[in-house]
Amino acid sequence: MDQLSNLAGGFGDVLTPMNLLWVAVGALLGTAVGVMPGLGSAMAVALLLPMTFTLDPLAALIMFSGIYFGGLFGDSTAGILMNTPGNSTAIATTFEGHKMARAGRAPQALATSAIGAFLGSILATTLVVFFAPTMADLATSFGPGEYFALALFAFVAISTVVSESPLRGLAALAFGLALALVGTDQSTGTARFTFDVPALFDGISIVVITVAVLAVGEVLHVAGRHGRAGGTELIPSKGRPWLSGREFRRAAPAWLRGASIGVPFGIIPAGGAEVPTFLSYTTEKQLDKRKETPEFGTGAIEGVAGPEAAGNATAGSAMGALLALGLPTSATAALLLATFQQYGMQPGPLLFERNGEIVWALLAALFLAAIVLLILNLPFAPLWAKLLMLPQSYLYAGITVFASLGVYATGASQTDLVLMCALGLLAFVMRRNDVPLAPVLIAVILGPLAEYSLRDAMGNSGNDPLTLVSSPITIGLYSLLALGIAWTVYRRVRPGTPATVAEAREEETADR
Amino acid sequence: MSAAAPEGGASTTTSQAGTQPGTQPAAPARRTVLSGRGELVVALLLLGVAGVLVYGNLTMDVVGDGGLLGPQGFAWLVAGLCAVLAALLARSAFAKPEPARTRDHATSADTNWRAVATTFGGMIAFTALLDVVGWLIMATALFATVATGLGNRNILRNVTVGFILASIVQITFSGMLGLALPSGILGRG
Repeated sequence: MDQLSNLAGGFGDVLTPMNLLWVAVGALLGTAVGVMPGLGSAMAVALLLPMTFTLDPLAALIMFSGIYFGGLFGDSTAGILMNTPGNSTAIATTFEGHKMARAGRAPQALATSAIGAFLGSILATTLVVFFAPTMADLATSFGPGEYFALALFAFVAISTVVSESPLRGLAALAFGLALALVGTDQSTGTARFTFDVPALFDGISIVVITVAVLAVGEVLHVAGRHGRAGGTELIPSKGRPWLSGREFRRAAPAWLRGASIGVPFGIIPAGGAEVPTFLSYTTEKQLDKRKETPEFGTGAIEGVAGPEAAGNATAGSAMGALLALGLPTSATAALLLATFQQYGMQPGPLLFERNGEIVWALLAALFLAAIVLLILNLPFAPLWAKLLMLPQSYLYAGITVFASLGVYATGASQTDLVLMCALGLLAFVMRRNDVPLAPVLIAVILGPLAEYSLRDAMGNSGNDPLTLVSSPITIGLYSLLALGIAWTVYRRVRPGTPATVAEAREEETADR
Repeated sequence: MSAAAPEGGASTTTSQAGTQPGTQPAAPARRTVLSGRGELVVALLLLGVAGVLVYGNLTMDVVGDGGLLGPQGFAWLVAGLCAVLAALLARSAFAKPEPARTRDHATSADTNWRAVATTFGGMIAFTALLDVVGWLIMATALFATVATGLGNRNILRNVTVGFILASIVQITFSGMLGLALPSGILGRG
């Protein structure tokens, strides 16, 4: 068991007072940002990236492991107590979670969610420990054809299968692909779409794009809705956050089911944890209907346990895909990829050989982060909820200041700030027209991978397009993609079932 | 009770009830051919992107031999995608059924443009003046503008809170983490 001895070595590296401090700082900051409405773990990583510029790689990555999971632990708190999920990944948890809170069981809902997030994280990270090296071995046989197939899979999945309107999803994808083209061409050195602005020669930083699209877009959106929204009320969480034996026995299977739904989605580049959380929610609801007295709609504990475990399990296995394949399957993973690259490391098949120590230390840190987060969130969730009592104006003003700081810190250039304003405005326009934002980020992240692997595949094969479908892996991926599209079309055509996540949400609303 | 709104964004906000029927103020009466067809803005932006890509491709100084696709090939593909999507979006905007159009029109007419303009203006001013005026003053101003834009009318307190936040950032990032923040006019004194 090489993995276990390597992991033990990783724990050895992480278990120093200083590194434990970084885990704790990351967990604190991640939870704090996650609790804020509209900000999830991608924003937590993007906003805090500049803070790590001066740290050594190990400390920075250790801190990010805390931020990474912390954002996911925090986002359900606001959903449960205020019915305003901190992030799209917490929407599924919110349905039953908020009803539990209304029924006076807020502490139990928060505890179920914290334990679910913990179990999801731990299970997925354990699987990553055992299977990532195997995945990395497999990935060494990947050529440009395979990587192009993976990128194309991600593009189509995120913009058509996952998103509510394929047309809008593809529009978002096109914006992202165009942004990714800016900068010096890697294979010929040609300056592309830089229009003689020196700051654009290196391309547009992923940090600038993430902060602009998620944070600035969010602030402008909130401003546009200001004074028009219905009030939200914070339900106080009183009492001890312990689950009774009966509650625990009901939640436990839901946690495990949620985690097993979540794990595969981390490896498929389909844009993060929103889909698995909803799948888990639907599964629990179906199981609940078979009971003598269905409890969904009145605050069923399974409806909190399942989605929360699924979300964190997805995040955990997404880390595996990032480390072993070099493939970011969510915006958060893409920002971590940027962090690795900033330190001259390239996630992918060779990472385990070249930077083995750091990888195992990072995996060990993920375990520790999950434990620290459980300690921070299980008893103290009501304390975190106090953050929500900050006046909205100060909250968003603070977010704007930190967003500008993060963008300026990446390159100390005014051009980046101009881009931030422009892209923030673009995100605002997109949100007003129900154009999803996630495809922009996926396109920016995987656009270069798609382009260069396509060009390499063409160059290596003497411009034979059949090279793209010449291996079992590529054929498998394209078949899976075709199945996904067929399934989407089938669900849209078939009457009576919600075709999309949004419709499922609307149905939820109508059910009340 | 306000539930998760059917907004497709990557994040959800506290303010969702505005899109729900019943919470609207009286529906605005003025309507033009364009109202309720916000997709046209997205289509126009896509066309703009396609235009920039085509212009960039045509004026590009290609260095060396890039093979079949070269540095421009993928950009041609993206430009084509943008143009096609713009056309399809425009078509769907004009084919939109009447109830959906009325709803979209009501949602977009119910926008607090003053708050958006104030907030965005603060960001533009920050961008334009940061290097000259410096972090401390501009971050304070940015915070105060956004807080005021979001309806907090206690300007003196907004400025004070903003100044405290800007100072804390200056001390931790510039002082302790060694990140260079422009000192601007305060630095020359």
